Amino acid sequence: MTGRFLADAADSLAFSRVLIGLWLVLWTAQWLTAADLFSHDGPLPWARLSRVRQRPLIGRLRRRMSTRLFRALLAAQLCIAVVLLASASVSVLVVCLALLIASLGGFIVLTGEFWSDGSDKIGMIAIAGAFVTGAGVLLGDSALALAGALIAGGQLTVCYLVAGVSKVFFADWRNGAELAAVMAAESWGHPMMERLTRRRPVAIAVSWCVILGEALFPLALLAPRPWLLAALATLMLFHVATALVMGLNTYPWAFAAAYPSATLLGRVLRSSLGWDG
Amino acid sequence: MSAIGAAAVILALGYLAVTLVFQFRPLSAWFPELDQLGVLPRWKFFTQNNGVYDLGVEVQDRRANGSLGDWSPIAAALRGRAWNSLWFPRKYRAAAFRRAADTLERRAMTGKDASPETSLAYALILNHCRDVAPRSGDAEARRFALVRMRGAGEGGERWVVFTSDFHTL
Repeated sequence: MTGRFLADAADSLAFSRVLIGLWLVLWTAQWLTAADLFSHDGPLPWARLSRVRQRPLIGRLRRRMSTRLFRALLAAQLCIAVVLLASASVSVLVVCLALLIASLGGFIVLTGEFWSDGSDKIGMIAIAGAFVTGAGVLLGDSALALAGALIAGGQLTVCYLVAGVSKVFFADWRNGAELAAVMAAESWGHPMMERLTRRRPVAIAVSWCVILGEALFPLALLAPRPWLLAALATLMLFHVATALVMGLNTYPWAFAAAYPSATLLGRVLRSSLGWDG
Repeated sequence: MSAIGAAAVILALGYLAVTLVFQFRPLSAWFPELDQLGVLPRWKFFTQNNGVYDLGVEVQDRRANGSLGDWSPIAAALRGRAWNSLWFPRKYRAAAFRRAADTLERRAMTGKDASPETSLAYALILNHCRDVAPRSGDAEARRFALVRMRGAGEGGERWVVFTSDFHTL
């Protein structure tokens, strides 16, 4: 079982590597374009960020930042992402992921509270999980590899479960009103979706599809592999839809980066229950 | 199974359990940085009415002679184009602006912060207002107001949640 699991883990890493790399190429390229948000004439200059009193050490680092240095660090991260895409070596993967954890973590700490979203969180978790799984594969430690699958695949499962269940407790989600209001909002909405969800039966149907698709995902981990892949594909369609309608363009890539860990976790769960196949 | 591997599995399971607990306040309110870093993320998307109310920002200029201009809305939302489903760097400014406005509204409403104008949220919104709205004539100072809106047209709700001081342009 151990040898087979490590082989499965190595296979899932091959997919994780590519998906994480693709997400990071997009993410980093976008931030290279938007780096002047922190310039002296941007909405939140480094000089202003550095004056946050509760963060003296981070303030010192921010005082040393400039748009040029920020772009250089992002360019370095882009190079790491490209190496990740290009190399099939598990050793290279582990080193790249360790560097990316430091780099992304540093970005979030330095830039502060307004710039990261849910896709950044799941992307970080996918990287952390793949790192631990990669370390397990390198060391021949199946338990360590499993821990990585738990981190990324488990957290993905928690994410969908919490997102779905929390909506069930919201009356406006159950009756479609919340979805209709979101689609009508200038911030998030879309004219076509606003027209569609103005019809209450459509709003209710779409709302419950989202609720059930998210809340029931944990069950998909116990289903045969084709069903788990179908569930992930369906959720990916949901993320693509939010990218098209709401401009959440990094979400499909970031969430996909955690999917290989989820398939690995599903295999472990079915195997431990004797449902392997 | 190695001791390190076993410990890692136990830690990973513990991490998932703590994440579930962290979905609830007050724990999540005490450590918001853990959420931002993805260390202990909160996964409640659009279950706090945060997508339902539109945020409007209006600016008012004060002229050199002391008279005030009209309040005029500036774009707070960023409606994407079709290609923005693939490439959308402009979203960062709009998204940060929304989050800053949420933060500033919370600080103003809870009254915890005696001087919200020293906060990063205030600075970000102020700079954004200076950047995007053209100066009217001989305007020497500008202030902004955060306006929450729900529904369009005459039937919609609208209320001012915060008004800043005037700041030199």
